[in-house]
Amino acid sequence: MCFQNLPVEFDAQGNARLKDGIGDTYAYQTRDIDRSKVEKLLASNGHVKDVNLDPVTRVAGALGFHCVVDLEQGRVHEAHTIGTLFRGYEVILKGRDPRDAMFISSRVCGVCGGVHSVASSLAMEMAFGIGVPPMGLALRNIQLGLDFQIDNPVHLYLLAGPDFSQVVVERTNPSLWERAKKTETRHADVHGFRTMADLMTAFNPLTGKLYLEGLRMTRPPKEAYSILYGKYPHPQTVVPGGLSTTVSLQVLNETQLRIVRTLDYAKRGVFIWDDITEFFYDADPRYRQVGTRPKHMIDNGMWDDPYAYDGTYAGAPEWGERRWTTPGVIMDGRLITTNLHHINMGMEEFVEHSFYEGWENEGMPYRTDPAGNPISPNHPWNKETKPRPDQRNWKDRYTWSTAARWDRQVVECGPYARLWATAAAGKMPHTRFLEATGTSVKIDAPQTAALPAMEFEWKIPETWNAFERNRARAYHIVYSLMVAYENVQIAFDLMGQGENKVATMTEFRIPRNERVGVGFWGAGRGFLTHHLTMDKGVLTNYQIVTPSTFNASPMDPFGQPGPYEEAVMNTPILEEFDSAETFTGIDIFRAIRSFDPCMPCSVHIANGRNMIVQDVTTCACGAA
Amino acid sequence: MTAGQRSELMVGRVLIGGIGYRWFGDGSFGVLASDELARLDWPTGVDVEDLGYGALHVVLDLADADPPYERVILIAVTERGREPGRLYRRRCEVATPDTEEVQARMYEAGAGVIDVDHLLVIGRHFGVLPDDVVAIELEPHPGTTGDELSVEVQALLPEAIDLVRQEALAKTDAPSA
Repeated sequence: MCFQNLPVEFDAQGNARLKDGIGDTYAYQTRDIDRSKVEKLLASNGHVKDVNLDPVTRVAGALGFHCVVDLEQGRVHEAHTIGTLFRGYEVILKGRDPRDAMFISSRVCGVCGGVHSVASSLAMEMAFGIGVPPMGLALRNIQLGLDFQIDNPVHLYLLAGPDFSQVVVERTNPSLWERAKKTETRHADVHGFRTMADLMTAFNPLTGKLYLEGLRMTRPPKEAYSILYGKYPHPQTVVPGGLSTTVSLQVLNETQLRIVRTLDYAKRGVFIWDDITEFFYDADPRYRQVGTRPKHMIDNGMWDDPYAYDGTYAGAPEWGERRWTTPGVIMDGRLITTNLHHINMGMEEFVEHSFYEGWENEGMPYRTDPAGNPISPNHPWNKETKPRPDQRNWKDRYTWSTAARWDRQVVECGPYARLWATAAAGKMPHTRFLEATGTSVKIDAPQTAALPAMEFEWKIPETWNAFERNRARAYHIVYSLMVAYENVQIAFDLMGQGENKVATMTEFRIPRNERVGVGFWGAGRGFLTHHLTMDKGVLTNYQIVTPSTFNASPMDPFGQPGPYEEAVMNTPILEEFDSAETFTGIDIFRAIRSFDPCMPCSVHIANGRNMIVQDVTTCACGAA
Repeated sequence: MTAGQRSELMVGRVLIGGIGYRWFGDGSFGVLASDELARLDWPTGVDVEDLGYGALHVVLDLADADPPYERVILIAVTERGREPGRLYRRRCEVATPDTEEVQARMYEAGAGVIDVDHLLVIGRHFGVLPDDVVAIELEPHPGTTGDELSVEVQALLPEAIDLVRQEALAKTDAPSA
């Protein structure tokens, strides 16, 4: 049974339908937030403190975090994720020509704009009824492999990396620093850092070798990205049906050269994050609890098989499973579906604790998806974005993020969910360099300038925490590079066969009748969907669900906190400090940053004319 | 020596760069001005670029510029509390910024924020900017919106282009012909 909470069941043929005998099928009771216990603790114990991390630095965008911490017991009693700004792209896009969406929605993120352009194009391909020729799909795959070579390393070395640096560890955990000075790394032969102290020093902001290399190594993938897609971070050549560029042998050669150059660096990264993770585990097993939460995850899979993708919703379960990473929902560490229809059917967004009006009185435009599967009134195709700015109140509304849920359960997203679903499913068909074993993914990385050919194996971890998120991200860098590398080889083969078409040759017009579409895709930070509805040639609704929509979500109406909140409440305070004044909250920061938060940074106020009155555009992946 | 060659010697290596976001109302003034400037004829040695791709990446490109630029002219939209709706010429500081400010701007730039001050601070920190950096800045009216430039700001484009052109061609420390 795929769904435990939604009123959906499957017949013997696997067709979904609403359960019989339930009146208002998707109705639910909202559970009030009870803070009385926390308020009592705060009032009666001087060592229980309100801790406000606002803004949380070293994350993309505007994220605030509030928690109630018992500094004596080293426990977090309560946590609130605060998306401090409204994104509003949904409001901006309504009423526009759908083709505007791939350019405008790209601006959701100042780091990974390309993934939004592609997700938008996928949604339009579905709505318009067009596909993409194999060369167009291979080039699209290369683009997204390259995109992640900027996104993931920037997180590991510039944003999260400093949490493990000498300047931070020496201040927050002096005993750990003393241990690092005496501990030899396991992989000095690969990365060259003899002791853990040497490795941590390399993470120092602005001066550390890894920090600076992390910055410098964004250049080769950015160059390759620009060769194919015109410009980073917002591609100029992504269109529904493929790409509006041409491809030549020189373009492919230049791309491959930069992929190989990046691969050498990526291979070393795996050993660096293995060393960091194992050092902390050895030093104190309680680090396995930092950022831990249930193993509930979601991912759409990505990188389409050039010979399988047809752009249709009906075909999504088949072409989805042909992707280089397999779509999947993981519950308690167990894979429960790889079917994109199921993933879509289970999606809902709730706004009881967010600064939005509900839309329950606006009717329900879509009771089923195009395949006839039931969907919720809270599904993105039915959702409306209706901002309602208000005062922050922990018992009521406190964030601009919505509570995105799957089957009314709290799921997190990330590149690790992508690896996990792929590993567990064991269905990934592209085995030239990659293999899904059922419990792991294996990556055959070829010889590069400084390192020999290597086989990596990311195994589904026993414990799930902040360290494993970062470690998996390092493996994901190599994985996605090998996807790009393999797609360059496919593009070479296609060129050899004279298959140079990069965009559909099917003549099409923008439909004038009512259509729906969804782009099932992924960002460097994980799960991404763009849902659109259109009529009379313009968008009637456009909803973007990003990784941080799930990860940064607040408490839902069922009383379940969002993933950041949950992870922080499970985090033991292992920092060494003398008083509340010297407490830095490093363990909390490590827990939050391990998700690679990407928050709304656009201050938009809708004035009723699809316009905005003030905007600071950056990465806005996390908003509603 | 031809007049053109003399002009090249006088100008040296100059980068003209527009900074900002596209489809952002008056906030796109910098990149739209650089689009216009790129259509003009320039002496050898003068490059006109859209620098609206983030300070971290621009800094890496500047570090690899060979030979390095001797003068950088930036066009941007920045709120500095001046009278709005006007253009301002600003000679940018040569001093190295303090580490805390560099870090803060690195994180914002890493998150995708495009801002002329991010480029100036990060560029100075990594030593990739020449001493001679001038910014032509538009002080925006607060709360302007839309996909395109307002009529008022559109009217400032010729003036901005003229200002940048004067800056680019008025090399002060070029070797004598």
